[in-house]
Amino acid sequence: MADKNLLRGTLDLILLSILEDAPKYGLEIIGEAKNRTDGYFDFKEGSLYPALHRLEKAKHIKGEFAPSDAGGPRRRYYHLTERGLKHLQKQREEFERFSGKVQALWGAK
Amino acid sequence: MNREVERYLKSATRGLWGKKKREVEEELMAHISGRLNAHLIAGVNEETAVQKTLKDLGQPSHVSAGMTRLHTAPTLMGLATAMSLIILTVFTLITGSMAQSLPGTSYWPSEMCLNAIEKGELTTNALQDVLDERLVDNCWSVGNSLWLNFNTLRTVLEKEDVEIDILGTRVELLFPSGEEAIFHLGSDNISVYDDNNQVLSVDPHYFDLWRLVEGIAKNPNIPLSISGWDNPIVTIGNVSFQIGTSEQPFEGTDFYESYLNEVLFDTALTGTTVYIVNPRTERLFKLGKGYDSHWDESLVQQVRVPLNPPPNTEASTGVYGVVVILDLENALVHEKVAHDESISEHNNAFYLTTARASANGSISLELPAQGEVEFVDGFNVFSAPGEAILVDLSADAGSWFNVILPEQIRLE
Repeated sequence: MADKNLLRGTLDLILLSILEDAPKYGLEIIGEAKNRTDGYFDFKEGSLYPALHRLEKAKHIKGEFAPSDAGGPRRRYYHLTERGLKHLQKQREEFERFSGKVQALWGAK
Repeated sequence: MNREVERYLKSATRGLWGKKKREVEEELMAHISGRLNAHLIAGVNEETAVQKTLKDLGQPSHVSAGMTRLHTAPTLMGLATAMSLIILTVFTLITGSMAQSLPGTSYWPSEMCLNAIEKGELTTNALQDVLDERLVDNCWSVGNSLWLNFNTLRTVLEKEDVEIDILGTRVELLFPSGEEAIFHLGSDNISVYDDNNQVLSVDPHYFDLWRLVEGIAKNPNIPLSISGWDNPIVTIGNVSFQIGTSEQPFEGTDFYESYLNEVLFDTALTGTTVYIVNPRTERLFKLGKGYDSHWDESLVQQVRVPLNPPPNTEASTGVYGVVVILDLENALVHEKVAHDESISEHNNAFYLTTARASANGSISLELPAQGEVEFVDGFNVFSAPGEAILVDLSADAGSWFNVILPEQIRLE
C-alpha cells in the first residue's frame, strides 16, 4: 500500500495516467491502478470519486454516462480532455525532474 | 434496491443536491453493482456479497465529505458571485452629515402603526413606549423588512435629477446617466392580519427597502452600495441617503441578514431542499416555502469564534456576513429512529449571521455549538456548526468580498 502522504501529492498524476489511453469508469480505474502496480495503488472510493470530480471541475477530464456492457446501471466513463493531456505531460515532467533530483541526492551520499 | 445499499448511497451523497446528487448516486450505484457482481460471480450468496461490497467501499462519509467540500464550497463561492450584483462598498468619505436621512420603520406600515409612530407611542426599534395593548398585538416587525416612505425618497431622488414615473405600484427611475431601474411600492405577496382576522393594509406610499435594492440590482450599470451598521448609508447611482434618523435610529444588522437570506435564495441553491436557519428571526425557510420553526435558544450553547478580518479592509467599520453549513449528521441519525422516511429531506441547513469587528480589527461572532430546531411537522433536529465561510460585505470594489476558508476558522 502506497504512503498516504506521497499518494496525496501524486493522485492527479496517477489518475490522469490511467485515463491516458482510453476512457474508464470508477471501478475500472481502481482495478487498473491496482493491477498495473501489483496492488501498490489500492484506492478507496472515498478518495477516488472526490478526486475524479475535482479533476472534472478543473476540466482536465470529462465524465459521461454510457450504458454498461454488463447490463445494470449506466456507468460514468471519464476521458482526458486536451487540457488534461497537457496537464498530465507537465505533471509527468515535473515528477521525473523531482524524482531525478531526489535520486541524485541519494546518489551524492 | 437493497436497504443497506440504499442507506450507503444516501449517506455517501449527503450534502449534495439536485442534478449533482442524482448523478453521483447513479455513478456510485453502477460502482456498487460492479463490485456486487464480482462477488456473486465468485460464488458468495447475495447477503454476503452485499456485506463484502460495503466493506470494500469503506465509510460512505469519506465520499460525502470529499464531494460536499468540492461541490458545496464553489456553490457558496457562486453566492459571492451573485453578490457582485449588489456591490457593498465602504464609502469612507461619505459621512452621515452629507447624506440626507430618511426615517424608516421596521414595523408593519399600516395606518394604525404609522399613526402610533408619529405620535411617539411606538418607536421604530423598541416597544418599551407602547401603552396601547392593540399596538402591542398588531404592530410588530415582519421578517427583517425596513419600510420607507416613498415621498421622502422621491424628494431626495428628484433633487439629484432622477426622473420618476409611477404607474400603479410600479415605479420607474431614470438616472441622469441614462440608466433605468424599476421597483414596486406596497406589498403584494404578504399580508398581516389583526386580532379580528382583518388584513392590516400597508400604507400605499410605503415600500420595503428590499424592493428598491432588488430593482436597482437588476441593472448592473447602476452603482449600488450599502454601508455601515447604525443608520446605514445607501448609495444608488449619484444619489446617497441614510436610513434612520438620530430620533429613530435603525440598526443595519437585520438588513444585512435579510441580504444573506436573499442571496442564498437567489443563487444556484434554488430548487433544492435547503433549509436556512436565521437565529435572529427564529425562522427556518425551505426554499420556495416559508416554514415556521423555533430555534431553541436554551439549547444553543453559544461559542465565540475569533476571526482575522480579510486583508485590505476597513476592519473596524466592516460588515461581515457569515454562512455556516450546519452539520446535521446527528440530526439525521436522530430522525432516523422515529421518521425513517424523512431522512433525505433535510440535506442542508445554513446558519446565517453577521459580525462586527472591534476597534482593534478582530472579529468575534457567536455560533451555536449545538442547537435544536423544531420543525412544524413535529420532530426536532439537532445540529452543530460545520464549515463556515466569512464573507466581507464591505470591502472596496474589486476586492469587495473575501472568503475565509473553513480551515482558517478556529473554534475556541
